[in-house]
Amino acid sequence: MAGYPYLETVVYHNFYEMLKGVYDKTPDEIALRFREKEEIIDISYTRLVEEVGSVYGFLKNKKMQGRIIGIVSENRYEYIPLYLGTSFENVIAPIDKESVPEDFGKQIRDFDVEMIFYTEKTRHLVEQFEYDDKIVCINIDDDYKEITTKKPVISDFFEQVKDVDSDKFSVLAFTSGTTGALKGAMLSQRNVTATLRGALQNNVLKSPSLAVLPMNHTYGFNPGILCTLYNGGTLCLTMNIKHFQRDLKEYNPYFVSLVPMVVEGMYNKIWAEAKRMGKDKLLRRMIKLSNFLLKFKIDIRKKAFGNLLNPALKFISCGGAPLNPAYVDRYRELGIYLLNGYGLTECAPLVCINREFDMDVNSVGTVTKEVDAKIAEDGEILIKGPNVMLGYYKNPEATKETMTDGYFKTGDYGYLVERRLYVTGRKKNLIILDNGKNVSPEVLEAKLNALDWVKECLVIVGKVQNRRVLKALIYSEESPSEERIRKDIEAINGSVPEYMQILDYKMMDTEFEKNSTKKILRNRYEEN
Amino acid sequence: MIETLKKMMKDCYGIEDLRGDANFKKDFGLSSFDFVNLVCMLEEDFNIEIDEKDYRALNTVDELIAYLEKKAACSQ
Repeated sequence: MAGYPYLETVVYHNFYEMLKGVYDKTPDEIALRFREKEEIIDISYTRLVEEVGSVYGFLKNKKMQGRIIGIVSENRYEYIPLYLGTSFENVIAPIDKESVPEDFGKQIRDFDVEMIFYTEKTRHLVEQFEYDDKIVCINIDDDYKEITTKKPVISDFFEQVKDVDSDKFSVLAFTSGTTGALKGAMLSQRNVTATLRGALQNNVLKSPSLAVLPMNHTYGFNPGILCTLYNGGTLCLTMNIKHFQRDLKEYNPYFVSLVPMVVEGMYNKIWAEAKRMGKDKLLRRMIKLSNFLLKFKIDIRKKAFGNLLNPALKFISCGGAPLNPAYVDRYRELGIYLLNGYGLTECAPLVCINREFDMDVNSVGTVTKEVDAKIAEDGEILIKGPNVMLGYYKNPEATKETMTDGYFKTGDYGYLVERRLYVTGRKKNLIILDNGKNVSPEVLEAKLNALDWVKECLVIVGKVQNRRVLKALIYSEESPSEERIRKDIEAINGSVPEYMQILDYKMMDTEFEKNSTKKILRNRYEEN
Repeated sequence: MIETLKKMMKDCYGIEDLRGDANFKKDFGLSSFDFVNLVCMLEEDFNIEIDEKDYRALNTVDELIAYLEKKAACSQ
């Protein structure tokens, strides 16, 4: 069924149309489901819209309009009404809770954030603004209940937001730039809703879904959370990755968005569990038998393997980082479609995703319906469409550099076969780790270069026990002791978020090879 | 306790030499997801609860064992 038609879906261009559409259709349907201590809590679409309206009303009363409002929080349901309620007349800026206080403070100031929603768990990041009267900090744990006590009349709320401009700058999505400086992609509600529609036009989404990725990720939040809400389905929330396996069994979702690290870890865990119970040989035999029967169109996968993860799970979308294609077949043997996709924060983020009846393990999928993808002469993937950002916040130069004839330059090389996209490599130096986190090697290289014994260095991806980790290659004209090297690297690691830590290093015997302008030829040293 | 941990590391991640100063991420190559899985298994086996704040601070085999022993002593 190669190249079969895109699916039909309802068209919303902004969050007002989306909320009104799902509320009118299914006001009593469960929008969100999650656990609070031992109890399962359900939030209906009516309550969700009320809480979005309350947040909107609260900001209006505070005379907060046209501001940038940050949110730095662990995964929790309040994130969703805060995000949506803020975006109508302000800009919501989701910030990584793993930031270190110094970087966080700089980010707040550089991007003109004037209010921050935080929680007890992220209090250490906002404490620095305690005496700063330009930045209002609101503790979700203390104040959310009060904000949402006063419920709006839903029709009044809709009346107030019905004229929202779909092209208004509504979300500030952070992304690592190639130079190491953080950039803010300005997204409109049209950008975000276009991404959600794109996902739903490629594959059928049935309820419920499960969300587990950090909510500050554009991929974790837009396809991972808003897609289900756009569709009027039920979204179950895993607040802590520790409870993921339990929630997967308990909520029995049809769909979950993941990153390669979890996809791989989950699969390896199935085998480890089987081995622990002495059933690995049986599992191997069952897979062989099931594969054989599939040739005769007899599908026993759900019956045989449904309980390994859960019986309903059909789709796992995988994005945020490159996926080892072998896992697509491994999951397919268990009856689960692992849909590899591709996107960028600047594209809100979805560009393409594999389709149920048109899967190719080596492709990142079919370009979504409204997106135009083409390949530049040098092989770079270019994207145009309603999902492409308005530009980088306060950075017209970077915006100009990244756009060409209305197309967004992705910085990735690839090729297209009809509408199917294949990514072959990265043009930019950005390192994408298995958990989807992006690291600009230049940030760490600058820290290493500041050490007096380092003459030249490169940070690349190395391997420890088959896992991709950050590795420093260092050339020194002195002979620093191993202890000193370790101590200095430990100090650097202490100054960056955990995912940016250098876990391996190698001392080089000679200087790095360079080009005519004396830039190190990075690609000569890449290990993967 | 160490025996249980040794068995888990061998069965789940194929790691046999469990030196005390070995770091789960740097030396054994465990991803953060793998480490959380290990924490979940330990919770089940020892019937304890390990806070996110706590397990994030545990890096080496020795640190984990010391933490588990302290936990076990508290719950007795």
